[in-house]
Amino acid sequence: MKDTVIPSTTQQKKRRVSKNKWNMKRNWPLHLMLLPALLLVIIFQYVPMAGIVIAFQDFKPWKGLTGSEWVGLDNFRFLFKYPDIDQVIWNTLVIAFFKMAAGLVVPFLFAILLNEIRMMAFKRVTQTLVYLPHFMSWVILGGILLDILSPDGGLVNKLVTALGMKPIFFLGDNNWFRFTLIISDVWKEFGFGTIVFLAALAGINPALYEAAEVDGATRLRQTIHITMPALMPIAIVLGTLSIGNILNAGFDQVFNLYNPLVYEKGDIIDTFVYRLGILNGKMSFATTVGLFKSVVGIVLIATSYRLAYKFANYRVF
Amino acid sequence: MKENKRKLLPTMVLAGVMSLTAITTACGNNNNAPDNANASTNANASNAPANNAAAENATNELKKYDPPITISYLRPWGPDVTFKEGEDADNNVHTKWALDKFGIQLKNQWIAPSTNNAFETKLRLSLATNEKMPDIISYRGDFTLVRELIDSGRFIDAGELFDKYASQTWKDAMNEDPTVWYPYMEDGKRVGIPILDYAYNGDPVMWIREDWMQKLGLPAPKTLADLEKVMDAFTNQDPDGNGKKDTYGLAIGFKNWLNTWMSDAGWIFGMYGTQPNQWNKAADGTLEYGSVSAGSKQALATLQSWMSKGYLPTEAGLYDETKASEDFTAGKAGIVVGPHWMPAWPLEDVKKNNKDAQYKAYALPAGPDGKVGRHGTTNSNGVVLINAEMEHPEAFFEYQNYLFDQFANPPAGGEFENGMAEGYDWVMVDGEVKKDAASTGGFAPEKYTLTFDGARIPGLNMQVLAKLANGEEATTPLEKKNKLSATQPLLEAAKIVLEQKDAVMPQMFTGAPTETMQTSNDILTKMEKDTFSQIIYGKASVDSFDKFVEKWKSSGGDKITQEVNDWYKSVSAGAK
Repeated sequence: MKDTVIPSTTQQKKRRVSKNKWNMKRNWPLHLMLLPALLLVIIFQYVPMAGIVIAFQDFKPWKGLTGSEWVGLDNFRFLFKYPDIDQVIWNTLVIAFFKMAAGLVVPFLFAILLNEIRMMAFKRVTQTLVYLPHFMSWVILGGILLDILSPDGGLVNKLVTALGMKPIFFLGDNNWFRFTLIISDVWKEFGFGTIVFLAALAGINPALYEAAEVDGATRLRQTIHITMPALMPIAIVLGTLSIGNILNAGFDQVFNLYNPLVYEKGDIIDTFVYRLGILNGKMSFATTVGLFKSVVGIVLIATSYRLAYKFANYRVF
Repeated sequence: MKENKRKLLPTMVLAGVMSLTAITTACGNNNNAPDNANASTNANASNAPANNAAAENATNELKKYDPPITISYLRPWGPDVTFKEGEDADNNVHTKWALDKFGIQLKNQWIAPSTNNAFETKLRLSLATNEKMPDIISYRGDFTLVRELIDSGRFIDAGELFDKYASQTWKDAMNEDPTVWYPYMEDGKRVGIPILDYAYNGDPVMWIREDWMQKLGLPAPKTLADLEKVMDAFTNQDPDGNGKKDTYGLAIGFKNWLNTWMSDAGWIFGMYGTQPNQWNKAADGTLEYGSVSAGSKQALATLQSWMSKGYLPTEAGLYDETKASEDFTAGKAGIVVGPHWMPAWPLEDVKKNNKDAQYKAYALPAGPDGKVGRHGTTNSNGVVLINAEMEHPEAFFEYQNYLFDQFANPPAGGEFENGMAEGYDWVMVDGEVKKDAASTGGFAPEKYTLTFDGARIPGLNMQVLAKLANGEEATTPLEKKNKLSATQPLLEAAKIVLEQKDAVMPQMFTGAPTETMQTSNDILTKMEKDTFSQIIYGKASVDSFDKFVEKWKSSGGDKITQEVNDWYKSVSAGAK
């Protein structure tokens, strides 16, 4: 320790160390409670990472991890030479990007609107209702959507025809399929995002609004100058965290909704891996794609984390 | 201090949530624990004395091992198997019977359910860790796992043993279709013994709404032209009489495949002499892929015209097999093609929606050149693998022979005349044999056997049903049993299935995926489904089929065709 050179820092450091110790002493039951979860993460998240080696092997289950032949980067070469891969990656990026963007903007606006409602009962009911679809699985929703989006006699298309337009084949038309995916995903998940924003709204100091009112600010002005800036940090956090998912366009959803008619616009990396890795038994290849996705994801998260730190002063570590 | 408290709160919440997760996860795991408890108990049990003290039983030539021997085995236990209180997979009426009858102790090396791939995962793990394999593995399901087991080289040439020890009944049943061996052939050796199932079980017939036919005064469709008339009437003449144009001719669903197990469209290709998505035998004796044959183009053109005329539901391309059949049961479509057992499920539902609804099975119509074609059903639904180190392989045959002789088609007065075990699948009530679930409790002891269903002779089931359909007297125990359970439409359908058996076009390639298939199958099937759907929906012209064929061939299809034919030559030469 260079305590002679900059005494003030040392003092600070010492204080921090002692504070940490003190924390440990006081909070040890909490740390103990974390232990099972920590073990779980180590056993089920970190240990299986050893399986990544499969990506560099021609893995045969009966030969095992140690007995299978090493093939270097052959699996990666196969992935990037695959005739369909450009289209599949592009579909994934487009679908995931719009889902992320809409998944951020819609709950943001919805939370602000809901916050303006003064009737508590109505507010609560709405909040619960929009939250409900989050709990339904895509297997069930797939069946429901198939019916309500049906071009002959489906609920949505009845509305479309009532407006004087031709029925739209939402799930079977390449021009509409991505749109359907994004909208239905937003519909399912925006209630969940709304709750996060509502929680943040509840934390805004009411004194700010009172002061603004005294200054003669309208509700709109209050929203723009108080509510929105107050929500920005949490919006940036959510945005940052979701960027790591740019290669996850949502397997459950696409798998349950896609069909041969929309392969061109709807086939994503995950469905592609499912067919090739699981149905055709190419485990090494499936692992390769998984690794590729993780690497891209971690690079993006690291970058966006730095950006979030720089612009919103947000940090976890 | 205040700041400290505020920081504390999220930590506490986090810790709380995480430990909660830990608890729930742990609970989830606990449920599986009892299954594994049995795993270790048996490993050394199988070393029974090698002396063949099997006392020859003079009266019925049954060998009984004394002292008893143990056969260790593995099979997935499905959710359909239920045990009586106090019984389990290792200790039940069937294992007691095997011990009493043959001196054979049946013992699971470990027990895992078939759900969620638990069995597959555990077996793959024990393969990877080089664990001792049981004497017998009896398996149906994932074919790649079977290939992995065979490739591990730990199982014996079972075909040789079969020739030596199997009874005539079993051999005859196997010879109904010798190609059941093909999937398990390795260098001319038959490594696995196919588990036989009833033949023609998945072969399609045409189901038509009989009340609509009568209402509109339509004759039975014998040809493609007849059929189109029927479909046109069903679509445009308001058969359900609700004044709206909301009905279709034919319910099909090809989200998965055109040639499929229910709501099938393969027979449309059959009218042009081919079957899509399978390997058919061409005129020159080689195998060709049906989806790229000339007949497929004509079939697609037909489908395209039907779609444009509104005979097919707009969403046929989005529907899987079950969903598509709902168009029929909802009273929206008048025709659906599927197996003879459809009255049992789902066809009966149509009467829930409309009390007056009637349906009837018809023969598949003939195409412009008089051709009729349908996909076939394989006679086998699984495989038995025998460990090379098994001490008494003949014991397994002893056991299985008896089931084939006595249970598959039980003779009158035999041990299994009324069922497998009294008090399980049949009971005596007031001197009368009762087999309904209400009196027996619905147990199925044949599911406790090594081969899942006791023993099945492929051709037998459909013969019995067809015989009953003709109004003949039920004489054998099996006929009597079927008479009780089968409905009239089902019997008639079974008869039609048998009458049209010359129309069967079996899937000729039953081997493991070839090398090129492993790398190119996905891109080829995706291309195929994409092109076929676009053509049927009229978004691509019928002539784009030619471009597809060209591309299919150059993207690996030619190579696959070569590999498939090499495989075919090797197995058809190796089979006796």
